[in-house]
Amino acid sequence: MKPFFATVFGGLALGFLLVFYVDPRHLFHRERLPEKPPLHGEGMPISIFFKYGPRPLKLAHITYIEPPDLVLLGSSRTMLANSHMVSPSLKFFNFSVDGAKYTDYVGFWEALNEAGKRPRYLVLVPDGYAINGRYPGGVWLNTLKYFDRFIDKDAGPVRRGWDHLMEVWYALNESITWEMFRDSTKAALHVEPIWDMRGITKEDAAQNAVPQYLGDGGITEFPVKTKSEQLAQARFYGNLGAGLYSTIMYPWTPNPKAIQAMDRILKDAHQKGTRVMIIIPPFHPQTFKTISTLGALSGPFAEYRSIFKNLAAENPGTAFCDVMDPARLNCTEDDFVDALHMVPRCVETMIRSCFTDQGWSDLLPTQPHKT
Amino acid sequence: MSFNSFPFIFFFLPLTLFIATYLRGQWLLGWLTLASYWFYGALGYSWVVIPLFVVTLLDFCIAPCIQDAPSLKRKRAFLFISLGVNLGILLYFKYAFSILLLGQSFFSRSGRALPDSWVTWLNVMMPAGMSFYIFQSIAYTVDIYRGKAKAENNFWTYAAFLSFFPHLLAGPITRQNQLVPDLEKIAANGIHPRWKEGIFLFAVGLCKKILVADRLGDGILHLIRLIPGNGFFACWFLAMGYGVQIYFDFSGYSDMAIGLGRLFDVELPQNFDSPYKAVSPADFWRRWHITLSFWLRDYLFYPLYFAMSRDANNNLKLIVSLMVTMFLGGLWHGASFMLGIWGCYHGLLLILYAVFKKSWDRWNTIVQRIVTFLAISASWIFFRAESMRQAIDWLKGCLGMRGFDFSFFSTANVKYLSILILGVIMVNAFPNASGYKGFVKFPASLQVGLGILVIVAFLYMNNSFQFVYFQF
Repeated sequence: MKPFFATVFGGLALGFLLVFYVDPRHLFHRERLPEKPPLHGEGMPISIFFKYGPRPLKLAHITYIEPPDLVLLGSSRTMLANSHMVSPSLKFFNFSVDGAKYTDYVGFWEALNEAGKRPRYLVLVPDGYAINGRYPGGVWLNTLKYFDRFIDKDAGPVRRGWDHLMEVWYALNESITWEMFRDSTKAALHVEPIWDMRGITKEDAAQNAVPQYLGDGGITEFPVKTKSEQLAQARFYGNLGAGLYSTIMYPWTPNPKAIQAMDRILKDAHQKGTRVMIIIPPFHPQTFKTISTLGALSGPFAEYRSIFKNLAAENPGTAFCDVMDPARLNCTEDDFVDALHMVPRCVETMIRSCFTDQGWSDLLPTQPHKT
Repeated sequence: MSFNSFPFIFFFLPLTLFIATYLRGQWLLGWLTLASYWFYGALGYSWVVIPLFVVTLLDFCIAPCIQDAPSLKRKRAFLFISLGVNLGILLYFKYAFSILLLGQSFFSRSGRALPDSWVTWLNVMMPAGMSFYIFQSIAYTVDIYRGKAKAENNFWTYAAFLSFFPHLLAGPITRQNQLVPDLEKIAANGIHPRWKEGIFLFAVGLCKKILVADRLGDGILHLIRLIPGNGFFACWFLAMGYGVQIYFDFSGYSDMAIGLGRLFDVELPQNFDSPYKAVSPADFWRRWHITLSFWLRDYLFYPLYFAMSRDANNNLKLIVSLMVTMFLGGLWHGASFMLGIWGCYHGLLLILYAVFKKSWDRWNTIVQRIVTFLAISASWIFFRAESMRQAIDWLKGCLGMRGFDFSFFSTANVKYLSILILGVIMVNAFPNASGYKGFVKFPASLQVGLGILVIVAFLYMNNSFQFVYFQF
């Protein structure tokens, strides 16, 4: 048994050391991020799936942007929002990241606070899983550090004990992956210059159908799919019913710590004079129809909505806009790439509709952007 | 928590085994039951342990009644109660949601809303592994009724027998005489883990699942969406690829389950015997998902066959019994028209084999193997297709009705094609892992090689799919 165990544990230890040392995605050594990430208006777009995850890049970018007027915190569903969707007089930045959990929302908010770049307007577009205590998957260490600092400022700690052990677990879980090992090895062998922040060119990105960063934290459209694929995928989610829940919501147990943390953002924003709007984003029409028919709207989905509605009601100056039903936005099947991800046109409609309803229409451009 | 996850490998398994090695008697069986319920509940839905407990309690209580009933009539009555409840639970959880969707479609056509009570009662999800433990429990009560088994008088033995976590989610479906003696042995003597056999077999199963089944699954998932436009090569790749994927997925799971059993000093029955080496459809079913095949034979096929009149023609009895058994075997996998067709297709293959057995047996073994492999591969089309339309499109592609489309051999697909070829070679060249005796004296070089594969499997663990058979 010795050769087997020596190989497995020795190999894993070496692999982890390599990943830890090179740290290609800045999980452990954020301070190594280069001086100026090329996210903002340099004509060198970078793929979100190439070399850097959106968290370290967007965090690093906070140092270089001018203090924004309007900030959007959301998940992959709002990563397509960009500055053309709001008034040109506003400085807009989109901090949406894929798989956003409550630690990300708090983390970005705290990072903006620390940099003295608190916005005048904050738009939160949370997914149900952001506050679901049983949603599988870890939290991201990049934003977790800021989350810790934000929470530790006040009495009544949100995270203690086991959570810290879980951090180590998440780090290990995230490190022991093929992608991390591949990137670390390439960097160590100088096969690919990992510190080169120029990113890929527009042509490369277009050829490989990868989304690219725009200068304001938004990204270009998700990889184009054929219409039949889009519909097939939407039907796939829509027809599965119980499977749909497990993808989006189930097993559903609201996490009190997460709700408390979101509440703290709202209170902090109010104290510091930032106006906030919470938006519940839409689902694909077929998906919405399925969950409505199956009575799920009175279950976890209703709870998700009411939690954020209550948070908005309890915090003065917080607007609430629920557009889970895509019919409210006139978004059709063609406005979605799957059960929950919109195309830019629908994202823009969502922003326009909610801003108009909640009296924020002065933040909108006079004419809709042609997306 | 699944076998192919870090929490299971580095937390649940070592902890459960460590504590188990210090326990004896009822405490040990109780701990194994508790740990199995924990494992089951940790899949994501803790309520799933309730039906498991209900089935356990019911059959534990009713088995002595069947055994000691003074008359055959009473025996039957108790057996029907047990079967009724077991099958009732199974049918409800397995088919309620499909009925709901049917109802939804029916009501929406007539412009009416589905009654709320329908939604409340039918919007349920089937717990993973339910078919497996219910079949195991049915086998237990039927065997007692037939006088082939004795009612268990120790609750913890029976609870551990039904819930033992290595077989709980996807078998092997274990009979009382296959597992209870081992459970009684470890209760009396304690656990003496068979480390080498257990760990190496688990490692082989893990590699089969993550490195072959899941990687092939990536390509299949991508290509299957494009079926209406796929040509001959792509369609055959999909059919054979899915056959190899599901084999490595399920046999990988079974290897892991048997390996885990050996770590707990328990021998679970073999579930696969290199099925793609089969030389006929009948041979295939003796090698594929063996415990289910034997279950269907003993508790469905034989009763059907012998229930028919003695005067009936033997061939007719055989045909009817085979078709019904295979059709129901197909539906056991899910409430889908396509799965029913899949079952009938296999029934037809078995009947054709029985009819032409003499001529078939004269063929060269290699030819028999290839033809069997192709016939089985074609059957996966019905198993995997999401609709009849997709199956027909797929079949058209396999028949070359959309041309050959050599562009399939693009760089992107070469990777998946290589895995398929590697899989087919492994299936034919290597011994069956769960029956392999060499793990006890596994050479150091092979241990290092397996260790490297395990590391790669760990690296891909985050991109691993759920086991295909969990849904059944």
